[in-house]
Amino acid sequence: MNTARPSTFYAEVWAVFIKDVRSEVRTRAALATILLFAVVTLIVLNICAGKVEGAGLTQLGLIENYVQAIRDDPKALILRTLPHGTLLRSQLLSALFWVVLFFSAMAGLPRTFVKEEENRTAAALRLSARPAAVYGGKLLFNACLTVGIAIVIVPLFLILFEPWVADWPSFSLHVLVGTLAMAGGATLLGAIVSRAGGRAYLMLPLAFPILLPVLICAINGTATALYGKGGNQLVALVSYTVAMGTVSALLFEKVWTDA
Amino acid sequence: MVNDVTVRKGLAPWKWLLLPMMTAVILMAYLWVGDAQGFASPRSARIIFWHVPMAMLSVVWFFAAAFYSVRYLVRHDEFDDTRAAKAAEVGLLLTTLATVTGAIFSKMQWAGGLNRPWYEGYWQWDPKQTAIVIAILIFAAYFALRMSVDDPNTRARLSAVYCVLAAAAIPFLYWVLPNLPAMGASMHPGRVVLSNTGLDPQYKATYWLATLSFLGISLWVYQLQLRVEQVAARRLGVREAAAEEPRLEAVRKTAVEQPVAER
Repeated sequence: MNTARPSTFYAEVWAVFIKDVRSEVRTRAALATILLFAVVTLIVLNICAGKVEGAGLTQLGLIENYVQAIRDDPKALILRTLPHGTLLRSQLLSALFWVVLFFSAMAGLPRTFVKEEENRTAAALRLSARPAAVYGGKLLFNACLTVGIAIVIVPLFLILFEPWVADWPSFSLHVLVGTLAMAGGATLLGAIVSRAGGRAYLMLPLAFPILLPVLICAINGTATALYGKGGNQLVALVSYTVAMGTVSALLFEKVWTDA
Repeated sequence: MVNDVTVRKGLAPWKWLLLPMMTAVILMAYLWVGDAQGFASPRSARIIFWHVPMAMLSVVWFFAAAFYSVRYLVRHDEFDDTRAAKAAEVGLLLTTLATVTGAIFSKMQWAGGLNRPWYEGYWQWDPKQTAIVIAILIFAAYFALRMSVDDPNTRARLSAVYCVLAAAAIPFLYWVLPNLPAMGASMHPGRVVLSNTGLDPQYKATYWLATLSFLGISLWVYQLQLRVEQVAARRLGVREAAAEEPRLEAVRKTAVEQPVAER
């Protein structure tokens, strides 16, 4: 009908995004991969490391009493507990949480591009949308995917590991910004992986070092949010993400088109 | 361009100059410069002449790799891809050497240091140690990517894109991450080399001569690597042309000598 009307950039971004959502709803491949990976890892970690149970400081008394108890009887059951509200516990749980989130995201995020190559739809997509719009749509989709995963993982994590969250706004902001940063970094890398012959095993070695600063900042920031004292890492996270996102957007066309 | 290997007799003059320069650095470092103050083992302060230039120059080589990557993406000259890969290789070599020398120094100097008073090993996870490990991992991933793509054009394009992305992360790793409060206090002295008062004149002279010498040596390594690639490419070209010859001959025969009806 209106074939002559040129589509605007944002309309194309939205169309690519909606297309991906629709195909994801049909197969649920990426979502299922990431969720299963995350849930299995969380459960395994909880079975093994969950023995380090948290006991409230009210049960144990003051931290000094805890230290004294370990000194008195090194073999005591108390060694298995890592009291709530200690920095060590916050750091440990924060690291576990981000490792689960990172590895499950890396298992699923390259799917958005690899599936285009597998289904041989990449050429059609290349013809029907400009490269920047494809990048925008895929980025939007990946961001929704990781945030969606976080929405499922966070309650599970809170129930299984019982971290005491001292600073809720800071905790949720760190989770949100950290997941968005992972999506921002992983989108271009997913495209590279799909163009490198769809070798999904490449994703982890490629993405891990590039996203390591994000991971370090997110783990540190979440630990302080759980603990309640210390500065946040939001500025570092946001600035690194913006820098990486900008460079990725500029480079995407070189990966996506053959010229 | 790839195939014209210029044959030069003897070394370029500046390469001869490296011998007296490096000799001078070694003599100056161990005979002329005095022990530094404020070190647990004052003699070990001479690490500044080896470790610091290598760490600094690695950044130069990583940026050179990114420069050639960008130029490849713009001009599509295959040899720019080779240049980028070889520059990244030299950068990786320099970071590895800086890491190893730094680890030895840190055991001598930082055992029982401020972050981990109980620890006496080679690796303290000082912010700069963390940063350089990430840089090494990034460029190791660059070579992993190069190894796993077979088609030369795709390999060149994808690795160029990854190299530019990596170079964008480098300033963050070298200058931002070590200064984040959350990374803990660094045991590296900050801003000694580029400040006016940080170093004695003797240290300063030796340091900059060492930097210049290491720049020359790494440039030499880089050029040798490129020459190897050039010669390999030329041999490959000759072999391919030789393989092509009989086939072309057969095609010519079919096209010219056989009557149309027989084909």
